[in-house]
Amino acid sequence: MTSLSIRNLIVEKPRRRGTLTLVGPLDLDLRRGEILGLVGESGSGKTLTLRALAGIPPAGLEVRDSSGTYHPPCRTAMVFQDPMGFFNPRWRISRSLEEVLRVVRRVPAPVAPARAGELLEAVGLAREEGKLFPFEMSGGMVQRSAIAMALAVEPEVMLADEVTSALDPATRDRILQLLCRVGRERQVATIVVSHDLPSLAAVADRVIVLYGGRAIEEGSPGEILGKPRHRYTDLLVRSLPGRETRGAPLPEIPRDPAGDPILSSSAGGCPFARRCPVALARCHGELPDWSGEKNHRFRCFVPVRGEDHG
Amino acid sequence: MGVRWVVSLLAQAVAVIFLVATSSFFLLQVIPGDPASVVAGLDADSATVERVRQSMGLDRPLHQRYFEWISGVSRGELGVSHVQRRPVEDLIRDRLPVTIRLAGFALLLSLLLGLGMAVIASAHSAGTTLTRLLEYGAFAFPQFWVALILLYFFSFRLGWLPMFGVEERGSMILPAVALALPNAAVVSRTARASLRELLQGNHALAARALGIPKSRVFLIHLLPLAMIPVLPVLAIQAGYLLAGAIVVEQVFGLPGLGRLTLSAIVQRDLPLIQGIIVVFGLAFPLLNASADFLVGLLWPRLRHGQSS
Repeated sequence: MTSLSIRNLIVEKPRRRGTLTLVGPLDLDLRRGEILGLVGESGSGKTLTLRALAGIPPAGLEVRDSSGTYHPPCRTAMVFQDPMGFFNPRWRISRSLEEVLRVVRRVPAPVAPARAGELLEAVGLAREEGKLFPFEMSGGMVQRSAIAMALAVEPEVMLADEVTSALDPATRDRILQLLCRVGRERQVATIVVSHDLPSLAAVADRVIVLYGGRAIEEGSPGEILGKPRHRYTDLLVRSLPGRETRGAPLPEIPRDPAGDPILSSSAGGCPFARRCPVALARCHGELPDWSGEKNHRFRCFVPVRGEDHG
Repeated sequence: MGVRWVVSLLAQAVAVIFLVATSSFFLLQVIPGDPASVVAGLDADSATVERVRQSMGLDRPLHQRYFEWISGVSRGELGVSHVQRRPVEDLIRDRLPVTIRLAGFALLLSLLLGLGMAVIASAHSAGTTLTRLLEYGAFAFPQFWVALILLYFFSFRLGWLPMFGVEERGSMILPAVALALPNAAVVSRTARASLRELLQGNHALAARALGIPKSRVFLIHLLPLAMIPVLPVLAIQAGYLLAGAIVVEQVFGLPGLGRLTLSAIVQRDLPLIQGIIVVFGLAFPLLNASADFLVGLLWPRLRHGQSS
């Protein structure tokens, strides 16, 4: 059952001469309870995509889809990288939860405290811990509370932006698993954004690789990690720690001489073309269409072939 | 904030009174002008002036007069006015209520006006330009001029408000407005900067991402947070209200501490000037303490005594 279906999502910045496309066109389809991983390096448009989907793009940017100006088609909730900044520093956690329940979900005031307690238990906190202020909690506890806040909205789509990067490694996996568990239990479609491909691959049903604001490869985590086809994904996977096998040097992704890959993709070519070690002339001029199968597709004229993955 | 806070506040107040009392005493010794000849009158001969000087105790050594002054201050006695021949503390007590009412009213008004301006500025880009103009105006126009303009329009032309004194209803409105305007500009600038930062901050984004309406995020979530940097600034500004009261009370004929100060200066009434300086000095630690207390109410992290 589809929970979210968006065609040609575009985030652009109107300028004096023409517009600059920062993200897209992007197609997104999510089933209920599905976990979609969105992976990419800094500046690839991950956060921008999430904020656009949530209907809170940065000021000065416009978001469109195939039907015109984009509005979130369903109830969304977003969790952020900085857990402390998420909360109103003046309020106890329970008060923040009750605020969302009462203002967004119109829960009557007498019922709200009990509901807030249930939500805290759902994310593995004790009811009494709702009496704490955010600054009295550890980073992991605050991030759990932030997930409870998102659940309070009863969203159809949950958007998680780098939720684990401010946490220590031990807490990181537990928070990510919690997020995905509550998403599946409650049949909420969840988009998890991260630059950490392996931990994302461990929890996601499907992964989209984003580069320069474009989706360049999509597939199951196993396929992406095991048999990357796009040249960028290949270099990304091979540069992961623990992959420098057979004495081969860690491959370095060449620097982009023109700087921002978004400018390359705006020119109509593959966003990775300038940095690609095997780019053809046509890579600079046109973005290839999707190729591959349904459960693993990519956009590349010179894909890595199966036998290269030895 | 408990016993320790109160004790440190009291210690601060005592230290400030001591410093202010000492510096006011010595500063007034070095300024030109002889109080004895002023009291004796312009046409008095030198023998009369000398007699007056003795009767005022001004012929005694400096250190002796200083210790008398300090021990008097510690008992709440601020000396006797040369001119009015009444204890200084009595003169101040008579005049203080008018000034406290005026300053309190002006403080409240500057907070409301300043916050209002900041809210308008944050809500719309045209509001920012308007607010900036208002701020510059409030800073740039001298207080006595603003006071006279207000008097001219609202009292003389429109007749809505009384022109003079404190007897009639609404007599505090115009003086308080004149006094509050520069402060309102300071409040507005501080609140504007703090709101701008909060609006771009993570909490505003998170609240909106969860579907809390923009106006509610602004008024219920952000505005109280924006007050936190405003309050200490306001406390410092409140001290300057007392200085502004000297001018404003004069224009509106209010029998307050400001007018008392002015006449004390004109008449070289040294004990009275010293006493007023001590009372003004005491206002600063008190106002700062109230600001600390209010910030604690707004910001639980401070109240719970945790530092980041």
